[in-house]
Amino acid sequence: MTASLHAADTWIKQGAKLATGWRLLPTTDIRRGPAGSHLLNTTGSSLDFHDFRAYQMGDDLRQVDWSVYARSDALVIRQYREEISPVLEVYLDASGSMGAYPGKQVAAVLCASFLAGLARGMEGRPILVTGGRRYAGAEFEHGLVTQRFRDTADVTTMASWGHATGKPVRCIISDFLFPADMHAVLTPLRRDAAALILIQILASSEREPTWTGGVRFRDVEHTNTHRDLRLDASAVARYRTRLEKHMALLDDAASRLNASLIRLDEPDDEEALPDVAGRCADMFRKAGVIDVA
Amino acid sequence: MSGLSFLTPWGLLGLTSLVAVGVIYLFYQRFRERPVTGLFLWDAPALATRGGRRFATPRATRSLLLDVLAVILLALALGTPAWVAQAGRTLVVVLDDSLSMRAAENHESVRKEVDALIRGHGGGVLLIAAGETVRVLADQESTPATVRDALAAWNPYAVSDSVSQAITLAVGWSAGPGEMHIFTDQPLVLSPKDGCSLTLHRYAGRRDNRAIVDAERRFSAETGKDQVLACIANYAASKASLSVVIRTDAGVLARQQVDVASGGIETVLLDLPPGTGAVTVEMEGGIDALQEDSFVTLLPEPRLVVTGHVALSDDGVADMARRALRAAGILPSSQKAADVLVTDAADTRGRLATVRLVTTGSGTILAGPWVTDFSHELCRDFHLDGVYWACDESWRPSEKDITLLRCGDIPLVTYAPTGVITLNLHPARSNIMRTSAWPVLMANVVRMAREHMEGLHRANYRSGALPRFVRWEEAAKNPTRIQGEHFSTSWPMSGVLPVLPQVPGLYGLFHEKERLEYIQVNVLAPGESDLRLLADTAGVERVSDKLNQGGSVRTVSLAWVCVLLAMLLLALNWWLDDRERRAMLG
Repeated sequence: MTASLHAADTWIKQGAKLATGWRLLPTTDIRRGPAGSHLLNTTGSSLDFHDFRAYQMGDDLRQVDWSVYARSDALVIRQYREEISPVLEVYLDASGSMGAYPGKQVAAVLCASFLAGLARGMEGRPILVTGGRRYAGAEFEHGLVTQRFRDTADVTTMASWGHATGKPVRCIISDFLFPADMHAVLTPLRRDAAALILIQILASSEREPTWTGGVRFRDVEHTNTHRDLRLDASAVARYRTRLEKHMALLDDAASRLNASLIRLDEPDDEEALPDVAGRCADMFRKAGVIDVA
Repeated sequence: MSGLSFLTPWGLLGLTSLVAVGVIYLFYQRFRERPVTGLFLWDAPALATRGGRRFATPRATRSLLLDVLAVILLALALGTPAWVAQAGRTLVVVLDDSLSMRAAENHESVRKEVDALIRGHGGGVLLIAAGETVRVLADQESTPATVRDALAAWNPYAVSDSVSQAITLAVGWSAGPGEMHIFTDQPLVLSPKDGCSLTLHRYAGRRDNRAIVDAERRFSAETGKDQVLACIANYAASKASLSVVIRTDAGVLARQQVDVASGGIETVLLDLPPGTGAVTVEMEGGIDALQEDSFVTLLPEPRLVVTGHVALSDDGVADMARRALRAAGILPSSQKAADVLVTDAADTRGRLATVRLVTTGSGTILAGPWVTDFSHELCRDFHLDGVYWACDESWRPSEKDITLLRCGDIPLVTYAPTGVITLNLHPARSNIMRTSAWPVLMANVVRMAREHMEGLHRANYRSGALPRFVRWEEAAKNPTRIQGEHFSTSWPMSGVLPVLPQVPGLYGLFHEKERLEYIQVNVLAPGESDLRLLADTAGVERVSDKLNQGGSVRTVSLAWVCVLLAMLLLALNWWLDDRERRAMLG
């Protein structure tokens, strides 16, 4: 798995290739813009006629179809389909917890490049935000390749890293394993986003730990922190219960913030990576984030 | 000295199992390092100390300490720890148990002196009687009262002593050196024993004495006479004129004067009237230092009459056979009631023995050499010098028969365990019946038949003799008992009584509470009656005075205490573990 991480370019290319044939499902909150090339079903300012409707107080008078008024003396608004050009902001958790397991790194890189590919497919602009830095456009992949997943910052500090303007579609890639109020942490990230997509990546040993006996747990994000524990079946069972509760908190926060939550599992071995790539698109589709182009 | 000791020190090798405990803990307590992200999700009980190496130094945890303690205790248990405490010096008293100790009431003096010794001694007492065999009257574990009772019951009547053997054995039995006192009238010369205080109490027994040294009652089936035979000995420095008196309950039956030279023995043979019961033979006159050997009581002997019958076709041969049987003390009888039957027929049997003559064949004459099994009672003194034997060369005995006499490979005399003696003999063509071999053979046949007769074979025995008794078939299931005033033992099977009564007196032979016979035991001990051979000076001789701190020790094994404590520790460990586990589960 470590060897796979060093070949990050391969996974970036694979993610980009995976995005072919899919498109990011637009939302109404995505900022309208003349530079957009994708037409929405909502009214906008493109040249494509969409519909008529009666004038309402507050409507832009420039939208009134004066020829209709001239014929029928009725104020009718001419509506045009809207064009969008989405901004995709990918917040990548590059803390030690993501770097402790090579499979999690690969899955994170794959997802990020997949999302970037989707954004580019819609003439959008992908932005990678990780370790407090922003990598926009062509720098997106550079940010991924140079990432070493050793940061001490995690999701709880992402809100302070600055946001793109214009209602971006915001994705957060993390394992979300930190003891904090999920809703409180994610709310600032949801506030100015057109959509919030949460991608949780867990290692297999995090999902189903099988250790017993004496174990020294080293906190990967705080290298000097460890605990010597005596594990038995009951201790592992209690861990699973706590993990389920923690994940339920994330579910609840995602639901309250109208965010899409996608859970990806760390591949168990190298042979399983292509399969993960396949499942990645499938999971995005099931979460209602992408659709066939 | 008291202290802790290990009875099986090799068991302490079990302490090496501590290594196994250490290894188990080394591996059990090693910690594998695991990087985790959600450390806050784990709530297993944390261990206090650092870990994570391949091997971790075993921590002095409660579990390890309890396990180590339990293993140590179990290893100690294997070593059989025992608290060894000195039980005090053992007082060993060896009593000469022979008859001569009764001379001049010496045994009463011994009893008083030993009693004083016992009362003044605080530790255990080993009381040993040295008679014909060495007997322990009381051991170190006996209470003082038991020892005094045993001393009171001590009755020296043995026909010989074994003081030297008793001293040797007593040193071993007393579990180490101690204080030893020997009471005897023998002229013993003792050597000092290492670490043993040895004191010889010598009683002077050298006196003039006269004694009945042998006596028996004889009954002749042929003549019907009942006689008393007594051997009178004079162990005095001068000639003695003695009077031998035979008494019954009714009074004096006979009296005979006997002059016995100094150191000489005279035999007296007196006839008794038919039907005389028990008689007492006494001596009057002369110097008598030991009264116990001056009289005997004789019961009527059982009349073991063996009947015989000769059924041979040749009259001349039959007559020779009858003469031989008569000479062996056998009574003629009819064929059906005969104990011994001499016959040439194949289908008839005597009750106790059958002599069967094989008179078939041509009658080959043999003149030797003879191969005789002299170890068999039938061949006792059976010599065939000058005998020529006529036999059937082709005759062969059955497989179960034992060949007692053969010439070359021709069997001539065989014996079957059923009591059948087969003679491959043509008596008419042989001269054996005109030689001494024939009556010897018949006498052996009769003696063998008599020894197989049921019941008690003799009524009068000398002290220490072995009574012989043949049980009848109906009595085979239940043991027979012989019981007297100071003696009672079971007679589990036919034959010689394994334990002999020593004290003279009348003993009953019982079967299922029914008395069958009487046995009379008399003091007939020439060696003990000759008091001239005993020590000539009396006194106390301190043979050795080097008393060590030896003596018997008492050991209290602590092995089970160790095992119990180990089990308790293991149970406590398990309970504490379980409590922690439950607390962890919330």
